[in-house]
Amino acid sequence: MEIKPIYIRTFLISVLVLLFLFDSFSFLTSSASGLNIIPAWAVFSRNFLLLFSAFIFFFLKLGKTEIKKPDLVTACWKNILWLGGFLILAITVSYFFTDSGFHKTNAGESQIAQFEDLPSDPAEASSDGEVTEPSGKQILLPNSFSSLVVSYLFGIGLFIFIANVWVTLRNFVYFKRTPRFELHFKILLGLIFTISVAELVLPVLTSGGSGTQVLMIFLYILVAVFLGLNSFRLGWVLYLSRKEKILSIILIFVFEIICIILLSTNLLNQGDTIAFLSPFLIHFIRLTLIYLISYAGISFFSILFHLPTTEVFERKSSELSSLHSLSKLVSNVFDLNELSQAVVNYSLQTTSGSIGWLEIYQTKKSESPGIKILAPRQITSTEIQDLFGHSDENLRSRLVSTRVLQVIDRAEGSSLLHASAVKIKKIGSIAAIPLIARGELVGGLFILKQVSGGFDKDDADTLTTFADQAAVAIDNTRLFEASLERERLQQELFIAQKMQMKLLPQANPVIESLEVESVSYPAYEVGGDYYDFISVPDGRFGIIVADVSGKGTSAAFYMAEVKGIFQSLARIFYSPKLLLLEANTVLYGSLDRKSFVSLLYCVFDVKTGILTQSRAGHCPLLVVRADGTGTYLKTPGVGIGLGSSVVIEPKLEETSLTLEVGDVCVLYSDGVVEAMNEEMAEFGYDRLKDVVIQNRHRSAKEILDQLITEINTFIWNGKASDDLTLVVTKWKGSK
Amino acid sequence: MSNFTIEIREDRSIKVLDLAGYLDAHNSNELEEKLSELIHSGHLKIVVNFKNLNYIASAGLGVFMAYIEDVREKEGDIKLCEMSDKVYTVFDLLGFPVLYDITRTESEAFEKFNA
Repeated sequence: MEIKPIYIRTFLISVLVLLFLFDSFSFLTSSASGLNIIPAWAVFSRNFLLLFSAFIFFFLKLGKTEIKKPDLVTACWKNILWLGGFLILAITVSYFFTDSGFHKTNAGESQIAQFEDLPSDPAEASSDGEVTEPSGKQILLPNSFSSLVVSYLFGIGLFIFIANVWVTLRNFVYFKRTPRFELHFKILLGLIFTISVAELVLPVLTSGGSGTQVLMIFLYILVAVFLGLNSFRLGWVLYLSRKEKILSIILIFVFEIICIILLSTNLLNQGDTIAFLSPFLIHFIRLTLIYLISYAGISFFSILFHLPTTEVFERKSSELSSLHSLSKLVSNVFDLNELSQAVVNYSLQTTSGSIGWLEIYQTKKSESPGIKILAPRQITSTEIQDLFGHSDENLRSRLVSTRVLQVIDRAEGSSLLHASAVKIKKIGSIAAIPLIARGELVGGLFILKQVSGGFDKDDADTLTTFADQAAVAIDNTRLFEASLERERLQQELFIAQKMQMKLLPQANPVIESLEVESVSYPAYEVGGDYYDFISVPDGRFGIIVADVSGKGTSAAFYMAEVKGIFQSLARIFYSPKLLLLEANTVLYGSLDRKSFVSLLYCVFDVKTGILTQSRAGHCPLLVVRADGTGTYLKTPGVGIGLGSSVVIEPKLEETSLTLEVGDVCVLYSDGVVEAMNEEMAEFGYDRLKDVVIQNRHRSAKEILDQLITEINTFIWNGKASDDLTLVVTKWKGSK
Repeated sequence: MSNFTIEIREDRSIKVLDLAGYLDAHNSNELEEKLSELIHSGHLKIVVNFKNLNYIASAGLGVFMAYIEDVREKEGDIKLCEMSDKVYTVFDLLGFPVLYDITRTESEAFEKFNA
């Protein structure tokens, strides 16, 4: 079953009202009759009822209130106002209502039997049996009705205030707490409660024996110990700003004085105002005030002593937060301008520099380093240039060559800076921090101060940390750009590959007298191998296989050029040699000096079976006759682009032969014979010839498939490092 | 296959490049740099020794092609020597021997310079 707060509140209020009515009634009857008729047991049970209510109220208050970050200044103001209010109230009461106190009198005859009939509280259940001598005690009686009212209002108000004091104190003590902090705080609270209850109970229960006194002394010593312990929970002092510290020192001082006045005088319990309500209350309030004074006092001195170190601490914490924001920025932002502004700003803030900038060096081999100045603060790019002057030995060049932090304590007269620029910008000292990412100098951070010798080791460490962050950011941005670039290139290569595949024949030609089968695999996305067919109207059929030196994109471009040249020339020049020479004339001028093209051009007369071929530096044509003899036609020839046509012409020959039915011709690129296995052995000419000889009776398609199988089996785990092109023809004879 | 090395020595005012390993498209620029350095510093008589070269790709051939033309214009030459059969086949296939001086031994290459 849940107990709603409203029930508890109602209960507490009704208890107080009932007690007040009871007290009013007994006061009125006693003043009317002139006799004290209140029995001791009644006073005693009223006390316990009050204690019980106070207990419930206090722990509910503490339990329900959340633990918050302490706010010293607000807490000071609040408590000063409250306590000051009580002080004024107490003084007022003591002046204007001089008769408002209470007087001691002997309690009326107690009725033990009646006392025992009362429903006993669990809190005092154990002490029930011991209550044997309640008589003979003095009790307090109000002098007037107003003193009764004052007592209730004052007592309850003060107790609510004290509960709030504990809530506030707990916020302070629990700052950055460990379980030990909580335990000590709870023990202290428990002890203060115990003593307050004991002060209430013991005088009633015992007649002040030495045993009781020893117990009380022991309890007070324990309270002192834990009070001391709990007074040193001052972690929050470090985090106060300078302004807060100065303000709070004054406030705490005022507060302490009020507390001490309240405690040292009897103002709070003027005329036993509170003691009437419950002796427990007065003890609890006094002990709480003692703790409050102790805690506030130690805080006071702690804050006082921390005052000189505030700046250092504030700097450290601003450094930390700057670093935190910076690293967040580094991982989120790819905009170098924004980032470098943040780095320069944070650097200036934390080191109190006046001028700063960040520069990026383009690190390309054998080029003068390109310098890009980012986020200049209080200085222009021209001024930066002036500062370094035009001599080779300046701060920047020193930074680049040494790649370690450079600090110039006296800018004036430094050989690394231009004197007039130093004067104009009123520069006292300067720190240059290298930005190093993955072992490479990517830039520099420059921070300038107007005072000389402005950079201590702490500054240098901070700036280095910022510079490291900046370096990572610059590196990230570059990597990001590089990966974008790579992706773009990849995309372009993909397009190039698709384009290139379109340049190769999409289908094998169908010729009655000649079987033609072909295949081409590029080793990379784009290759340098090219083959093509052309049918000339007078009954000739041409096959070209070419290999452009080099690989990749440039080879692919040349290949496209070769195709254009071949397709146009083949319709004009029937002689392979003439075609190759003409191709050389065109290509020699346009090819890059390091590039060349090897070409093999075969022209078949599809009626007569006469094959004419010429070889421009390409792998020789393999001819395997139906009778099983195989030869490579190594006709002399020079690669296209090696020399001008005049130089090449005498070295280039063409040969003819007449094909018999069943003769197989194989055109291929060097990727076939140079296909390498794991042991670095090549597929070779002999193996190629043997495979064709063994399979010469099969169709051109089957021979091609067999060749591919053999090559793949040979390579096995090796990787094809060159393009591979194969064209197999088989002469079937014309009908 | 990137174990390709070039060593340069000088013999009677002729620079000799000793190639070793595998020369392919990936490391041919190393050879290119060395040759261009030599030529820029005025060494126009160069002998390249292929004794320890196991493999050459067409990209490697292209480098020689470019620089031989270069030094010949300045009345120097690059002579190639001591090729293994396999390497020679590659040069031969492209028709190099008819355009450039390829000799069996290093001393023959030197003689050709003196002739």
